[in-house]
Amino acid sequence: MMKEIIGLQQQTDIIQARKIGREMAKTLGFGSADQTRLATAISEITRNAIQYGRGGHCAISGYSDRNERKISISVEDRGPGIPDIDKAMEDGYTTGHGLGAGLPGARRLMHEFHIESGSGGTKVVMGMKQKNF
Amino acid sequence: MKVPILKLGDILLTSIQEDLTDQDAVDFQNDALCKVRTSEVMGLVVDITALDVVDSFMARVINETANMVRLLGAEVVVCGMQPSVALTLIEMGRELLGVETALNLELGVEKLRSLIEKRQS
Amino acid sequence: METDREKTENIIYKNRKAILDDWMEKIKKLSVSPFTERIPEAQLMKQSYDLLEMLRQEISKPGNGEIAGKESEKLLSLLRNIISIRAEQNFSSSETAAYIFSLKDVLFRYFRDSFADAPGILQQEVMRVSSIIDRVGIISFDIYSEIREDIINRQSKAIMELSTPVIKAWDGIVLLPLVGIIDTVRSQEMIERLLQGIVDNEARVVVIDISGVPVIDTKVAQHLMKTVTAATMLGSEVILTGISPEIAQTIIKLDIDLGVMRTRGSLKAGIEDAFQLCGLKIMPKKENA
Repeated sequence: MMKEIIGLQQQTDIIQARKIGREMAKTLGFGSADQTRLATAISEITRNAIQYGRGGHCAISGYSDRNERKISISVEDRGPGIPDIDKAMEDGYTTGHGLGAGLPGARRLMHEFHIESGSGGTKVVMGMKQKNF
Repeated sequence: MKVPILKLGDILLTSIQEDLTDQDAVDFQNDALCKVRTSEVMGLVVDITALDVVDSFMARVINETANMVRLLGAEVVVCGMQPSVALTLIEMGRELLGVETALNLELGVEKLRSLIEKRQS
Repeated sequence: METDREKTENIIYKNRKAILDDWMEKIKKLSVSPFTERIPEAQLMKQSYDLLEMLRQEISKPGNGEIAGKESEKLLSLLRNIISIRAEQNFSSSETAAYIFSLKDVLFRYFRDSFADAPGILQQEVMRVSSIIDRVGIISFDIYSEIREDIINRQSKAIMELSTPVIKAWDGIVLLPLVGIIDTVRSQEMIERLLQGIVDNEARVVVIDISGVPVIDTKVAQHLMKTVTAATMLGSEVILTGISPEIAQTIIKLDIDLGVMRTRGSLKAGIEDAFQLCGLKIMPKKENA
Protein backbone atom coordinates (compact mmCIF):
# COMPACT_ATOMS: atom_id res chain seq x y z
CA MET A 1 0.00 0.00 0.00
CA MET A 2 1.41 3.35 -1.02
CA LYS A 3 0.10 6.75 -0.10
CA GLU A 4 1.10 10.34 -0.88
CA ILE A 5 -0.57 13.58 0.07
CA ILE A 6 0.00 16.77 -1.88
CA GLY A 7 -1.16 20.18 -0.66
CA LEU A 8 -2.91 22.24 -3.31
CA GLN A 9 -2.23 25.96 -3.14
CA GLN A 10 -0.56 27.10 -6.32
CA GLN A 11 -0.34 26.08 -9.96
CA THR A 12 2.94 24.19 -9.54
CA ASP A 13 1.14 21.83 -7.15
CA ILE A 14 -0.94 20.60 -10.11
CA ILE A 15 2.24 19.52 -11.88
CA GLN A 16 3.59 17.99 -8.68
CA ALA A 17 0.38 15.99 -8.08
CA ARG A 18 0.22 14.54 -11.56
CA LYS A 19 3.94 13.66 -11.49
CA ILE A 20 3.49 11.73 -8.25
CA GLY A 21 0.36 10.05 -9.64
CA ARG A 22 2.16 8.97 -12.80
CA GLU A 23 5.15 7.64 -10.86
CA MET A 24 2.92 5.58 -8.59
CA ALA A 25 0.94 4.19 -11.52
CA LYS A 26 4.21 3.23 -13.17
CA THR A 27 5.50 1.52 -10.02
CA LEU A 28 2.25 -0.45 -9.75
CA GLY A 29 2.67 -1.67 -13.31
CA PHE A 30 0.10 0.39 -15.23
CA GLY A 31 0.95 0.91 -18.92
CA SER A 32 1.89 4.25 -20.42
CA ALA A 33 -1.62 4.96 -21.75
CA ASP A 34 -3.10 4.43 -18.26
CA GLN A 35 -0.34 6.54 -16.69
CA THR A 36 -1.25 9.41 -18.99
CA ARG A 37 -4.99 8.98 -18.40
CA LEU A 38 -4.41 9.13 -14.68
CA ALA A 39 -2.02 12.11 -14.79
CA THR A 40 -4.47 14.00 -16.98
CA ALA A 41 -7.44 13.28 -14.73
CA ILE A 42 -5.43 14.44 -11.69
CA SER A 43 -4.50 17.59 -13.57
CA GLU A 44 -8.15 18.41 -14.29
CA ILE A 45 -9.43 17.81 -10.79
CA THR A 46 -6.58 19.51 -8.92
CA ARG A 47 -6.87 22.56 -11.18
CA ASN A 48 -10.55 22.83 -10.27
CA ALA A 49 -9.64 22.65 -6.59
CA ILE A 50 -7.11 25.46 -6.92
CA GLN A 51 -9.05 27.64 -9.33
CA TYR A 52 -12.54 27.39 -7.88
CA GLY A 53 -11.99 25.69 -4.55
CA ARG A 54 -9.47 28.00 -2.89
CA GLY A 55 -7.02 25.14 -2.53
CA GLY A 56 -7.12 21.92 -0.55
CA HIS A 57 -5.26 18.68 -0.81
CA CYS A 58 -4.88 15.64 -3.02
CA ALA A 59 -4.32 12.13 -1.66
CA ILE A 60 -3.01 9.44 -3.98
CA SER A 61 -2.93 5.83 -2.82
CA GLY A 62 -2.36 2.55 -4.55
CA TYR A 63 -1.71 -1.16 -4.13
CA SER A 64 -1.06 -4.26 -6.15
CA ASP A 65 -1.85 -7.78 -5.01
CA ARG A 66 -2.33 -11.18 -6.65
CA ASN A 67 -5.64 -10.22 -8.19
CA GLU A 68 -5.51 -6.57 -9.14
CA ARG A 69 -3.69 -3.30 -9.02
CA LYS A 70 -5.54 -0.17 -8.10
CA ILE A 71 -4.80 3.50 -7.71
CA SER A 72 -7.17 5.91 -5.99
CA ILE A 73 -7.20 9.68 -5.99
CA SER A 74 -9.07 11.82 -3.54
CA VAL A 75 -9.15 15.60 -3.98
CA GLU A 76 -10.77 17.85 -1.41
CA ASP A 77 -11.09 21.61 -1.52
CA ARG A 78 -12.47 24.28 0.76
CA GLY A 79 -14.37 26.17 -1.90
CA PRO A 80 -17.97 27.32 -2.06
CA GLY A 81 -19.04 24.02 -3.65
CA ILE A 82 -20.64 23.33 -7.00
CA PRO A 83 -24.28 24.47 -7.09
CA ASP A 84 -25.43 22.04 -9.77
CA ILE A 85 -23.28 18.92 -10.01
CA ASP A 86 -25.30 17.33 -12.80
CA LYS A 87 -24.74 20.39 -14.90
CA ALA A 88 -21.04 20.53 -14.03
CA MET A 89 -20.69 16.96 -15.27
CA GLU A 90 -22.02 17.95 -18.70
CA ASP A 91 -19.65 18.56 -21.58
CA GLY A 92 -18.95 22.18 -22.31
CA TYR A 93 -20.35 23.61 -19.09
CA THR A 94 -17.98 26.10 -17.52
CA THR A 95 -18.08 29.06 -15.19
CA GLY A 96 -14.39 29.71 -15.55
CA HIS A 97 -11.91 29.68 -18.36
CA GLY A 98 -11.58 26.01 -19.24
CA LEU A 99 -13.16 24.05 -22.03
CA GLY A 100 -15.73 22.76 -19.61
CA ALA A 101 -14.17 19.38 -20.17
CA GLY A 102 -12.46 18.99 -16.83
CA LEU A 103 -14.98 17.02 -14.76
CA PRO A 104 -16.66 14.99 -17.51
CA GLY A 105 -13.28 14.38 -19.13
CA ALA A 106 -11.73 13.10 -15.94
CA ARG A 107 -14.73 10.84 -15.38
CA ARG A 108 -14.28 9.27 -18.80
CA LEU A 109 -10.61 8.61 -18.16
CA MET A 110 -11.12 6.83 -14.85
CA HIS A 111 -12.93 3.60 -13.97
CA GLU A 112 -14.51 4.98 -10.82
CA PHE A 113 -15.61 8.52 -10.22
CA HIS A 114 -17.59 10.06 -7.35
CA ILE A 115 -18.20 13.68 -6.58
CA GLU A 116 -19.87 15.35 -3.63
CA SER A 117 -20.18 19.01 -3.06
CA GLY A 118 -21.59 21.20 -0.37
CA SER A 119 -21.11 24.63 1.12
CA GLY A 120 -17.97 23.38 2.90
CA GLY A 121 -16.21 22.30 -0.24
CA THR A 122 -16.06 19.72 -2.97
CA LYS A 123 -14.67 16.21 -2.79
CA VAL A 124 -13.82 14.08 -5.80
CA VAL A 125 -12.82 10.43 -5.39
CA MET A 126 -11.71 8.51 -8.45
CA GLY A 127 -9.98 5.23 -9.13
CA MET A 128 -8.38 3.16 -11.81
CA LYS A 129 -7.88 -0.58 -11.55
CA GLN A 130 -6.64 -3.45 -13.57
CA LYS A 131 -6.49 -7.21 -13.18
CA ASN A 132 -3.10 -8.67 -12.45
CA PHE A 133 -2.28 -11.75 -14.50
CA MET B 1 9.68 29.00 -17.22
CA LYS B 2 10.02 30.74 -20.55
CA VAL B 3 9.62 28.74 -23.72
CA PRO B 4 12.24 29.79 -26.28
CA ILE B 5 10.91 30.69 -29.72
CA LEU B 6 13.52 30.57 -32.48
CA LYS B 7 13.40 32.16 -35.90
CA LEU B 8 14.57 30.07 -38.83
CA GLY B 9 14.21 31.91 -42.14
CA ASP B 10 10.54 32.67 -42.62
CA ILE B 11 9.24 30.38 -39.89
CA LEU B 12 9.39 30.16 -36.10
CA LEU B 13 10.37 27.02 -34.22
CA THR B 14 9.45 26.36 -30.64
CA SER B 15 9.75 23.32 -28.48
CA ILE B 16 7.98 22.98 -25.15
CA GLN B 17 10.52 21.10 -23.10
CA GLU B 18 8.83 20.66 -19.77
CA ASP B 19 5.48 20.70 -18.02
CA LEU B 20 4.06 24.22 -18.10
CA THR B 21 1.99 25.76 -15.35
CA ASP B 22 -1.19 27.47 -16.50
CA GLN B 23 0.54 30.84 -16.24
CA ASP B 24 3.53 29.59 -18.28
CA ALA B 25 1.11 28.41 -20.94
CA VAL B 26 -0.62 31.79 -21.12
CA ASP B 27 2.77 33.54 -21.28
CA PHE B 28 3.81 31.22 -24.08
CA GLN B 29 0.69 32.16 -26.05
CA ASN B 30 1.46 35.88 -25.68
CA ASP B 31 5.12 35.42 -26.62
CA ALA B 32 4.28 33.37 -29.68
CA LEU B 33 1.73 35.89 -30.93
CA CYS B 34 4.10 38.85 -30.39
CA LYS B 35 6.94 37.04 -32.10
CA VAL B 36 4.79 36.13 -35.12
CA ARG B 37 3.67 39.76 -35.39
CA THR B 38 7.10 41.39 -35.01
CA SER B 39 9.17 38.97 -37.04
CA GLU B 40 6.63 38.79 -39.87
CA VAL B 41 7.07 35.07 -40.38
CA MET B 42 4.78 32.85 -42.43
CA GLY B 43 4.41 30.06 -39.94
CA LEU B 44 5.06 28.50 -36.54
CA VAL B 45 5.95 24.95 -35.58
CA VAL B 46 5.21 23.91 -31.99
CA ASP B 47 6.97 20.75 -30.88
CA ILE B 48 5.27 19.04 -27.93
CA THR B 49 7.30 15.82 -27.84
CA ALA B 50 8.30 16.44 -24.23
CA LEU B 51 4.74 17.01 -22.98
CA ASP B 52 3.46 13.88 -21.29
CA VAL B 53 0.24 15.49 -20.11
CA VAL B 54 -2.00 17.68 -22.25
CA ASP B 55 -5.11 18.37 -20.23
CA SER B 56 -8.15 20.37 -21.30
CA PHE B 57 -6.54 23.66 -20.30
CA MET B 58 -3.35 23.04 -22.28
CA ALA B 59 -5.38 21.74 -25.23
CA ARG B 60 -7.39 24.94 -25.20
CA VAL B 61 -4.25 27.09 -25.12
CA ILE B 62 -2.75 25.22 -28.07
CA ASN B 63 -6.03 25.37 -29.97
CA GLU B 64 -6.50 29.08 -29.37
CA THR B 65 -2.90 29.93 -30.15
CA ALA B 66 -3.21 28.22 -33.52
CA ASN B 67 -6.38 30.11 -34.37
CA MET B 68 -4.91 33.42 -33.25
CA VAL B 69 -1.73 32.92 -35.25
CA ARG B 70 -3.84 32.17 -38.29
CA LEU B 71 -5.65 35.48 -37.79
CA LEU B 72 -2.26 37.13 -37.93
CA GLY B 73 -1.74 35.57 -41.35
CA ALA B 74 0.55 32.70 -40.49
CA GLU B 75 0.18 28.90 -40.33
CA VAL B 76 0.69 26.61 -37.35
CA VAL B 77 1.70 22.96 -37.14
CA VAL B 78 1.86 21.08 -33.84
CA CYS B 79 4.21 18.14 -33.89
CA GLY B 80 5.46 15.27 -31.78
CA MET B 81 2.33 14.50 -29.79
CA GLN B 82 2.80 11.32 -27.78
CA PRO B 83 0.48 8.41 -28.57
CA SER B 84 -0.92 8.20 -25.05
CA VAL B 85 -1.57 11.94 -25.04
CA ALA B 86 -3.57 11.69 -28.27
CA LEU B 87 -5.51 8.75 -26.86
CA THR B 88 -6.29 10.57 -23.63
CA LEU B 89 -7.48 13.71 -25.41
CA ILE B 90 -9.85 11.69 -27.57
CA GLU B 91 -11.23 9.80 -24.61
CA MET B 92 -11.83 13.02 -22.73
CA GLY B 93 -13.95 14.13 -25.62
CA ARG B 94 -11.75 17.05 -26.50
CA GLU B 95 -9.74 16.95 -29.64
CA LEU B 96 -7.25 19.47 -30.85
CA LEU B 97 -9.57 20.20 -33.72
CA GLY B 98 -8.50 22.63 -36.37
CA VAL B 99 -4.85 22.21 -35.54
CA GLU B 100 -2.58 20.75 -38.17
CA THR B 101 -0.37 18.02 -36.74
CA ALA B 102 2.75 16.13 -37.74
CA LEU B 103 4.66 13.22 -36.27
CA ASN B 104 7.95 14.99 -35.65
CA LEU B 105 9.76 18.26 -36.16
CA GLU B 106 11.07 17.30 -39.58
CA LEU B 107 7.65 16.36 -40.94
CA GLY B 108 6.20 19.36 -39.12
CA VAL B 109 8.42 21.81 -40.97
CA GLU B 110 7.63 20.02 -44.22
CA LYS B 111 3.90 20.28 -43.57
CA LEU B 112 4.18 23.93 -42.58
CA ARG B 113 6.00 24.72 -45.84
CA SER B 114 3.25 23.11 -47.88
CA LEU B 115 0.57 24.97 -45.92
CA ILE B 116 2.39 28.26 -46.53
CA GLU B 117 2.62 27.47 -50.22
CA LYS B 118 -1.10 26.77 -50.32
CA ARG B 119 -1.86 30.06 -48.60
CA GLN B 120 0.32 31.99 -51.01
CA SER B 121 -1.12 30.48 -54.18
CA MET C 1 -3.96 -46.46 24.69
CA GLU C 2 -4.11 -45.74 20.94
CA THR C 3 -6.95 -43.51 19.81
CA ASP C 4 -9.06 -44.39 16.75
CA ARG C 5 -7.41 -41.56 14.93
CA GLU C 6 -3.96 -42.92 15.63
CA LYS C 7 -5.05 -46.40 14.64
CA THR C 8 -6.25 -45.14 11.29
CA GLU C 9 -3.07 -43.21 10.74
CA ASN C 10 -1.07 -46.30 11.58
CA ILE C 11 -2.96 -48.41 9.08
CA ILE C 12 -2.09 -45.94 6.37
CA TYR C 13 1.50 -45.69 7.54
CA LYS C 14 2.09 -49.43 7.72
CA ASN C 15 0.48 -50.12 4.37
CA ARG C 16 1.66 -47.01 2.55
CA LYS C 17 3.62 -48.92 -0.06
CA ALA C 18 0.72 -51.24 -0.88
CA ILE C 19 -1.81 -48.40 -0.80
CA LEU C 20 0.31 -46.43 -3.21
CA ASP C 21 0.56 -49.38 -5.60
CA ASP C 22 -3.19 -50.01 -5.48
CA TRP C 23 -3.88 -46.35 -6.00
CA MET C 24 -1.56 -46.28 -9.04
CA GLU C 25 -3.39 -49.30 -10.48
CA LYS C 26 -6.69 -47.54 -10.01
CA ILE C 27 -5.47 -44.30 -11.54
CA LYS C 28 -4.21 -46.13 -14.59
CA LYS C 29 -7.68 -47.53 -15.22
CA LEU C 30 -9.34 -44.16 -14.69
CA SER C 31 -9.45 -42.16 -17.87
CA VAL C 32 -9.93 -42.90 -21.51
CA SER C 33 -6.45 -41.70 -22.36
CA PRO C 34 -4.39 -43.16 -19.54
CA PHE C 35 -2.70 -40.94 -17.00
CA THR C 36 0.65 -42.54 -17.52
CA GLU C 37 0.77 -41.53 -21.14
CA ARG C 38 0.63 -37.89 -20.13
CA ILE C 39 2.69 -37.94 -16.95
CA PRO C 40 5.94 -39.84 -16.60
CA GLU C 41 5.25 -42.70 -14.17
CA ALA C 42 8.06 -41.68 -11.82
CA GLN C 43 6.59 -38.17 -11.54
CA LEU C 44 3.12 -39.54 -10.85
CA MET C 45 4.52 -41.85 -8.17
CA LYS C 46 6.40 -39.04 -6.48
CA GLN C 47 3.35 -36.73 -6.51
CA SER C 48 1.08 -39.44 -5.17
CA TYR C 49 3.52 -40.52 -2.49
CA ASP C 50 3.89 -36.94 -1.23
CA LEU C 51 0.16 -36.40 -1.33
CA LEU C 52 -0.55 -39.60 0.60
CA GLU C 53 1.95 -38.53 3.25
CA MET C 54 0.34 -35.13 3.63
CA LEU C 55 -3.12 -36.67 3.76
CA ARG C 56 -1.98 -39.08 6.46
CA GLN C 57 -0.85 -36.13 8.57
CA GLU C 58 -4.15 -34.37 7.90
CA ILE C 59 -6.04 -37.51 8.98
CA SER C 60 -4.00 -37.76 12.19
CA LYS C 61 -5.03 -34.23 13.18
CA PRO C 62 -7.77 -33.80 15.79
CA GLY C 63 -10.69 -31.63 14.77
CA ASN C 64 -13.59 -31.70 12.37
CA GLY C 65 -11.58 -32.26 9.20
CA GLU C 66 -11.33 -28.59 8.28
CA ILE C 67 -8.38 -28.12 5.90
CA ALA C 68 -7.01 -24.94 7.37
CA GLY C 69 -4.34 -23.57 9.64
CA LYS C 70 -0.59 -23.75 9.59
CA GLU C 71 -0.35 -27.56 9.47
CA SER C 72 -2.45 -27.71 6.30
CA GLU C 73 -0.42 -25.13 4.44
CA LYS C 74 2.06 -27.72 3.19
CA LEU C 75 -0.79 -29.86 1.89
CA LEU C 76 -2.34 -26.89 0.09
CA SER C 77 0.92 -25.87 -1.54
CA LEU C 78 1.55 -29.45 -2.63
CA LEU C 79 -1.96 -29.61 -4.12
CA ARG C 80 -1.42 -26.34 -5.96
CA ASN C 81 1.83 -27.69 -7.30
CA ILE C 82 0.37 -30.97 -8.54
CA ILE C 83 -2.73 -29.40 -10.01
CA SER C 84 -0.92 -26.64 -11.86
CA ILE C 85 1.15 -29.32 -13.58
CA ARG C 86 -2.05 -31.22 -14.42
CA ALA C 87 -3.74 -28.14 -15.81
CA GLU C 88 -0.76 -27.38 -18.03
CA GLN C 89 -0.85 -31.02 -19.20
CA ASN C 90 -4.47 -30.53 -20.28
CA PHE C 91 -6.13 -32.80 -17.75
CA SER C 92 -9.80 -32.02 -17.37
CA SER C 93 -11.23 -30.89 -14.06
CA SER C 94 -13.06 -34.19 -13.57
CA GLU C 95 -9.91 -36.19 -14.26
CA THR C 96 -8.10 -34.10 -11.70
CA ALA C 97 -10.85 -34.64 -9.13
CA ALA C 98 -11.15 -38.35 -9.93
CA TYR C 99 -7.46 -38.73 -9.15
CA ILE C 100 -8.08 -37.54 -5.58
CA PHE C 101 -11.37 -39.38 -5.04
CA SER C 102 -9.99 -42.69 -6.31
CA LEU C 103 -7.87 -42.84 -3.19
CA LYS C 104 -11.02 -43.36 -1.09
CA ASP C 105 -11.84 -46.88 -2.31
CA VAL C 106 -8.25 -47.95 -1.87
CA LEU C 107 -7.97 -46.63 1.67
CA PHE C 108 -11.33 -48.03 2.77
CA ARG C 109 -10.37 -51.52 1.65
CA TYR C 110 -7.47 -51.42 4.10
CA PHE C 111 -9.68 -49.94 6.83
CA ARG C 112 -12.19 -52.77 6.39
CA ASP C 113 -9.47 -55.38 6.80
CA SER C 114 -7.98 -53.71 9.88
CA PHE C 115 -11.20 -52.76 11.65
CA ALA C 116 -12.99 -56.02 10.76
CA ASP C 117 -13.76 -56.68 14.43
CA ALA C 118 -14.98 -53.14 15.20
CA PRO C 119 -17.71 -52.11 12.74
CA GLY C 120 -18.58 -49.02 14.82
CA ILE C 121 -15.07 -47.59 14.61
CA LEU C 122 -14.84 -48.57 10.96
CA GLN C 123 -17.95 -46.61 10.12
CA GLN C 124 -16.82 -43.61 12.14
CA GLU C 125 -13.34 -43.54 10.58
CA VAL C 126 -14.62 -44.09 7.05
CA MET C 127 -16.96 -41.13 7.50
CA ARG C 128 -14.20 -38.96 8.89
CA VAL C 129 -11.57 -39.77 6.26
CA SER C 130 -14.19 -39.59 3.54
CA SER C 131 -15.10 -36.07 4.53
CA ILE C 132 -11.44 -35.02 4.60
CA ILE C 133 -10.84 -36.41 1.13
CA ASP C 134 -14.04 -34.76 -0.10
CA ARG C 135 -12.75 -31.43 1.12
CA VAL C 136 -9.40 -31.96 -0.52
CA GLY C 137 -11.26 -32.83 -3.72
CA ILE C 138 -13.29 -29.65 -3.59
CA ILE C 139 -10.22 -27.56 -2.88
CA SER C 140 -8.48 -29.20 -5.84
CA PHE C 141 -11.40 -28.29 -8.02
CA ASP C 142 -11.17 -24.64 -6.94
CA ILE C 143 -7.43 -24.56 -7.50
CA TYR C 144 -7.94 -26.15 -10.88
CA SER C 145 -10.48 -23.51 -12.02
CA GLU C 146 -8.24 -20.76 -10.76
CA ILE C 147 -5.25 -22.08 -12.65
CA ARG C 148 -7.22 -22.69 -15.83
CA GLU C 149 -8.51 -19.14 -15.66
CA ASP C 150 -4.94 -17.89 -15.39
CA ILE C 151 -3.97 -19.92 -18.42
CA ILE C 152 -6.94 -18.62 -20.40
CA ASN C 153 -6.13 -15.05 -19.44
CA ARG C 154 -2.57 -15.45 -20.55
CA GLN C 155 -3.66 -17.02 -23.81
CA SER C 156 -6.22 -14.36 -24.62
CA LYS C 157 -3.57 -11.75 -24.02
CA ALA C 158 -1.28 -13.50 -26.44
CA ILE C 159 -4.05 -13.84 -29.01
CA MET C 160 -4.85 -10.16 -28.62
CA GLU C 161 -1.27 -9.26 -29.43
CA LEU C 162 -1.19 -11.59 -32.40
CA SER C 163 -4.53 -10.44 -33.75
CA THR C 164 -3.66 -6.78 -34.25
CA PRO C 165 -0.36 -6.64 -36.07
CA VAL C 166 0.92 -3.25 -37.13
CA ILE C 167 2.92 -3.85 -40.29
CA LYS C 168 5.32 -1.49 -41.96
CA ALA C 169 4.31 -1.62 -45.62
CA TRP C 170 6.76 0.95 -46.93
CA ASP C 171 8.80 3.84 -45.58
CA GLY C 172 6.21 6.04 -43.93
CA ILE C 173 3.30 3.66 -44.52
CA VAL C 174 1.91 1.23 -41.95
CA LEU C 175 -0.80 -1.34 -42.44
CA LEU C 176 -3.31 -2.52 -39.84
CA PRO C 177 -5.25 -5.54 -41.10
CA LEU C 178 -8.18 -6.26 -38.80
CA VAL C 179 -9.52 -9.78 -38.57
CA GLY C 180 -12.44 -10.97 -36.45
CA ILE C 181 -14.79 -9.34 -34.01
CA ILE C 182 -13.77 -5.95 -32.65
CA ASP C 183 -14.92 -5.47 -29.08
CA THR C 184 -14.13 -2.70 -26.63
CA VAL C 185 -11.14 -4.39 -25.02
CA ARG C 186 -9.65 -5.30 -28.35
CA SER C 187 -10.21 -1.89 -29.86
CA GLN C 188 -8.41 -0.31 -26.92
CA GLU C 189 -5.44 -2.56 -27.51
CA MET C 190 -5.65 -1.91 -31.24
CA ILE C 191 -5.55 1.86 -30.86
CA GLU C 192 -2.63 1.78 -28.46
CA ARG C 193 -0.62 -0.52 -30.70
CA LEU C 194 -1.42 1.44 -33.82
CA LEU C 195 -0.42 4.78 -32.30
CA GLN C 196 2.85 3.33 -31.06
CA GLY C 197 3.41 1.77 -34.48
CA ILE C 198 2.84 5.13 -36.16
CA VAL C 199 5.44 6.81 -33.96
CA ASP C 200 7.95 3.95 -34.22
CA ASN C 201 7.71 3.82 -38.01
CA GLU C 202 7.27 7.56 -38.55
CA ALA C 203 4.22 6.70 -40.60
CA ARG C 204 2.59 9.52 -42.53
CA VAL C 205 -0.07 7.18 -43.82
CA VAL C 206 -1.97 4.38 -42.11
CA VAL C 207 -4.00 1.87 -44.07
CA ILE C 208 -6.63 0.09 -41.97
CA ASP C 209 -8.06 -2.91 -43.77
CA ILE C 210 -11.36 -4.29 -42.47
CA SER C 211 -11.86 -7.08 -45.04
CA GLY C 212 -11.66 -9.59 -42.19
CA VAL C 213 -14.19 -7.90 -39.93
CA PRO C 214 -17.47 -9.82 -40.20
CA VAL C 215 -19.87 -7.24 -38.78
CA ILE C 216 -19.86 -3.53 -38.26
CA ASP C 217 -22.30 -2.04 -35.81
CA THR C 218 -22.51 1.38 -34.22
CA LYS C 219 -20.07 0.39 -31.51
CA VAL C 220 -17.44 -0.93 -33.91
CA ALA C 221 -17.86 2.16 -36.07
CA GLN C 222 -17.24 4.31 -33.01
CA HIS C 223 -14.07 2.38 -32.24
CA LEU C 224 -12.93 2.86 -35.80
CA MET C 225 -13.68 6.57 -35.67
CA LYS C 226 -11.72 6.87 -32.45
CA THR C 227 -8.77 5.08 -34.04
CA VAL C 228 -8.86 7.34 -37.05
CA THR C 229 -9.10 10.52 -34.97
CA ALA C 230 -6.21 9.43 -32.77
CA ALA C 231 -3.98 8.66 -35.75
CA THR C 232 -4.92 11.97 -37.34
CA MET C 233 -4.02 13.81 -34.16
CA LEU C 234 -0.52 12.43 -34.32
CA GLY C 235 -0.28 13.77 -37.84
CA SER C 236 -0.98 10.69 -39.96
CA GLU C 237 -3.47 10.26 -42.78
CA VAL C 238 -5.77 7.28 -42.44
CA ILE C 239 -7.17 5.26 -45.32
CA LEU C 240 -9.88 2.71 -44.55
CA THR C 241 -10.04 -0.19 -46.98
CA GLY C 242 -11.80 -3.49 -47.47
CA ILE C 243 -15.35 -2.28 -47.06
CA SER C 244 -17.61 -4.98 -48.46
CA PRO C 245 -20.98 -4.16 -50.06
CA GLU C 246 -22.75 -5.60 -46.98
CA ILE C 247 -20.75 -3.40 -44.65
CA ALA C 248 -21.34 -0.36 -46.86
CA GLN C 249 -25.08 -1.08 -46.58
CA THR C 250 -24.94 -1.43 -42.81
CA ILE C 251 -22.97 1.76 -42.44
CA ILE C 252 -25.50 3.77 -44.39
CA LYS C 253 -28.54 2.07 -42.81
CA LEU C 254 -27.23 2.58 -39.29
CA ASP C 255 -26.62 6.19 -40.19
CA ILE C 256 -23.00 5.97 -39.09
CA ASP C 257 -21.05 9.00 -40.17
CA LEU C 258 -17.78 7.87 -41.67
CA GLY C 259 -17.76 11.02 -43.76
CA VAL C 260 -14.46 12.35 -42.52
CA MET C 261 -12.71 9.12 -43.37
CA ARG C 262 -10.84 8.50 -46.54
CA THR C 263 -12.15 5.15 -47.75
CA ARG C 264 -11.23 2.79 -50.56
CA GLY C 265 -12.90 -0.45 -51.60
CA SER C 266 -9.90 -2.71 -51.87
CA LEU C 267 -6.64 -2.93 -50.03
CA LYS C 268 -4.94 -2.53 -53.40
CA ALA C 269 -6.60 0.81 -54.04
CA GLY C 270 -5.75 1.86 -50.51
CA ILE C 271 -2.07 1.06 -50.92
CA GLU C 272 -2.02 2.93 -54.20
CA ASP C 273 -3.53 5.91 -52.45
CA ALA C 274 -1.00 5.67 -49.65
CA PHE C 275 1.88 5.73 -52.12
CA GLN C 276 0.41 8.78 -53.76
CA LEU C 277 0.14 10.60 -50.42
CA CYS C 278 3.83 9.87 -49.88
CA GLY C 279 4.68 11.16 -53.33
CA LEU C 280 5.38 7.70 -54.72
CA LYS C 281 3.98 5.79 -57.64
CA ILE C 282 3.92 2.18 -58.77
CA MET C 283 4.96 1.84 -62.41
CA PRO C 284 5.48 -1.05 -64.79
CA LYS C 285 9.11 -1.91 -65.26
CA LYS C 286 10.33 -0.67 -68.64
CA GLU C 287 11.37 -3.48 -71.00
CA ASN C 288 14.48 -2.93 -73.16
CA ALA C 289 15.16 0.43 -71.63
